[in-house]
Amino acid sequence: MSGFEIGLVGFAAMLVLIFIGLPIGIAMAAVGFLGLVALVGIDGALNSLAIVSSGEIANYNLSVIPLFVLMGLFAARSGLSRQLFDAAAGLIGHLRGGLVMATVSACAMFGAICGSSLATAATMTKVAVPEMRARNYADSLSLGSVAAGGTLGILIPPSIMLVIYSLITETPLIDLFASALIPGILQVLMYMVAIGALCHFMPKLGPASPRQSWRAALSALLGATPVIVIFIVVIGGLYLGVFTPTEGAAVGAFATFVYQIAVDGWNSQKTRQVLLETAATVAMVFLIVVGASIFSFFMSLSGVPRIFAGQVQELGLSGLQIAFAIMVLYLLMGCVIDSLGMLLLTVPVLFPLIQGISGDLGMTPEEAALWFGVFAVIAIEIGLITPPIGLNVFVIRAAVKDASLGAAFRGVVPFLLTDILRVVLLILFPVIALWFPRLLSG
Amino acid sequence: MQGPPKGVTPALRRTSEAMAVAGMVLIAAVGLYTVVDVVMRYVFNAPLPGAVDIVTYGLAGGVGLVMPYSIVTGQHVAVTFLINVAPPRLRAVLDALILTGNAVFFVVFTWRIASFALERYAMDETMWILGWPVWPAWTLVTAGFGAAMLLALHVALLAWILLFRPLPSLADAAPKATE
Repeated sequence: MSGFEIGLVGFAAMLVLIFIGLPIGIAMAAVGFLGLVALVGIDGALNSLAIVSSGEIANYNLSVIPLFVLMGLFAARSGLSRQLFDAAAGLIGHLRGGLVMATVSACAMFGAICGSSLATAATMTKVAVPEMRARNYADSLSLGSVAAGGTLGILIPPSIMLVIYSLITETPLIDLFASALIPGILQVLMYMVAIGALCHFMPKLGPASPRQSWRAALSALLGATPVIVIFIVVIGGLYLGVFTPTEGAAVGAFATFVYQIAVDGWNSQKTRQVLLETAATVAMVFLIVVGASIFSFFMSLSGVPRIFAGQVQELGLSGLQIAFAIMVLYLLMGCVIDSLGMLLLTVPVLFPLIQGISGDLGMTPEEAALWFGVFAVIAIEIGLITPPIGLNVFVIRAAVKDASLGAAFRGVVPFLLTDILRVVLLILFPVIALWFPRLLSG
Repeated sequence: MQGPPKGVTPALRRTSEAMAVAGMVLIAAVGLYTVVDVVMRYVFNAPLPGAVDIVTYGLAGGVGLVMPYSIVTGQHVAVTFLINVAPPRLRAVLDALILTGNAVFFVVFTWRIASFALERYAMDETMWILGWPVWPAWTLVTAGFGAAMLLALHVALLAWILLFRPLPSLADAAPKATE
């Protein structure tokens, strides 16, 4: 068998292992290792296993993952989400659908200090859903808005998903964070428009509430100051070159930790719980990263990504057609595969293709790397709210026991359509993702 | 996401939690060192030595120590569609196979990382800036993966025992890879 054939068989075997339920990281490691045995022999494969994986375990750049996760969890435990929601509700909560808009805004701001979609959704659910229920908002819209708003967590920097994309593709993380900022803001604005339109035509979904006094609104806004300060220091510091990503993550984790102590006092049980939750995430992510690195090494050695890219280009499809085909692929995969799994399965194969058609898409290969990172994360985040495995919806269901799963999935439909429109816009106008990094690089 | 396997005794859980907390304290300490380095650099123009080395190898040690906790929590990214719809017997077989796959991975991986650590020791390899030997960090990684391996073997073995010998006394401890 040729290397290409071994690669194809390996890819198919990995899909089978994943389908029978083997953890994705371990399936990738197993197939990657056996594939290397077939390509370079047992000794070469055993040596590669140690060298490739040790390079990931002791990787300075990957230290941002535990530190950003710590930052998000300390922020979640310190009640910052409540203050964000109150601040947004004080400003726009009186509008028709205003609390839903406030929820989305609070999700975006919380996402700015928490790189996880699930953590954002879980945290905001507890704060926002009871408030919206108390003001007679429809459950479908309330639950749908938190599920969709939660997806902002993996797009708005800092984003764990972009950290992993950066690792796989060797794209500069700070540039990726810069690329994600405008699409994240666009997502918030488009959600606002969708909510406004829905509540205009169906007022019962989100009735208007009495306007708060300016004093109360200002007081609530001041409560959100810590988040704004932490975001400006961490992300501003990254964009301005003051910090490396690891330094920014360390400063952010330290700042949220200090804030939590300032608000709640020292609580060893709470701190221990945060450390354990972070440990579980770190173990999960690093197992996947190790598996993905072994699998990617096997794939690149087999030549599958390069040959696949060449063959797709020979089909004579335009760059736009390929981009739309990838979008459809992501939407379909999102129905059955977890977001991180999708990223790890697709990026090693699709990245060379995107690099190959970058000229056709009107970008340099470096710009295409940034654009594809944002595109992939947005397309993948849609999977977090699509049935049957929309994880955000299940997280909300777990937090609100009497919530109907059907209502929640109905509620995400308008946001889902908005998301698809945003991906289409990103394909047609890559400048949405590229304008800010271009500005920063002068 | 998968769920926690049954059959993990309270003592094993407590041990893995203690290792996870130790690993995270190590990573948090590395973060603190980085913060102090930033402050020293910008405020006193006196950066701490070898921050990159400290972060790189501190992270490695921390990651190793949290690994056993991944077996206890069973928190892995996985597609559980087939398992969820499978009849109970097939589900038990799949669970046992999956847990065995996990265990095999940890056995092979621990072996390779242990060899890697021994090689670093034999070569007397040092960190780039600080010049400290790297083998202690790799020993910590090996210890963490080794503990994870033992746990993974324990839950996998229990899964097979229960599959072929469903003794009532062990029924409550039946390992279960998915929720």
